[in-house]
Amino acid sequence: MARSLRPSVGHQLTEDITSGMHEWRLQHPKATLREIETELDTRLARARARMLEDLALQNTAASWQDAAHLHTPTCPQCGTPLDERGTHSRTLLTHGGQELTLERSYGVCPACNSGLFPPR
Amino acid sequence: MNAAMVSAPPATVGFFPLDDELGLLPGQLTPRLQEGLVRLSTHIPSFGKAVGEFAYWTQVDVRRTTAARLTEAAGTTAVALQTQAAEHILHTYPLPACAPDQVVLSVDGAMVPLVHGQWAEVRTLAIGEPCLTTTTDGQAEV
Repeated sequence: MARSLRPSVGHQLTEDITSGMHEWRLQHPKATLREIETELDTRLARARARMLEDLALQNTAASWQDAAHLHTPTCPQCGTPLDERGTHSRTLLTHGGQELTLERSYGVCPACNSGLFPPR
Repeated sequence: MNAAMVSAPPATVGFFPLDDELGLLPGQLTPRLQEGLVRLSTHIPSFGKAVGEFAYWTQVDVRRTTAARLTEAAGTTAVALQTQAAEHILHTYPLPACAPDQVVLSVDGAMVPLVHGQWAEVRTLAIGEPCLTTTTDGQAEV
């Protein structure tokens, strides 16, 4: 089932950045603006990646059951409805060198056995 | 067996609906980062320098060869799209039914004054259909 919208995630991330930066500033009272900006960017990048991951997975296509409920995924080669085979995670890189892990369902074609390809 | 074959990852079976929905591209970078890398690699005349700038702004290290491969693939796609658009124009807007048998080209140039005392050369090209006439003294004139 697709993940439901979680506004609390955004609030928590914002709170973590605000409180974390305040604490960091107390520990670095002589920090230059460049150092403050770098630290803030690092924390924002982490929060951005978590939020992006959360938003990307709020898609019905992430879950086979939800996708099949709306429209059965079909084989791009022959149009036959695909058989679900489980889930597979894919990791992407985004701003700040942050990793984005997407756990998503996948299927294969029972008719033409299409679907053999290297991991993307 | 060559080195590329040895290092190739194992194949995975399956279609991923989410990848299509999200418009994910092959590779490890998000589509937006890939776009940024291609733009930098296009504007900076060195893939090595482009990946350096990319790493500075995104904190993501990418090999020079990756930048070259992605940029050249994007260029190939751009050429294919432009070719498709050109073919569409050729089919949608056919050539004029009655084109002149001959045309006359006239090229000229002149220096024109700009602001701050600068001068620049302006080149003109006139294209026309020739019309033959005869002068009063019997000479042919275009």
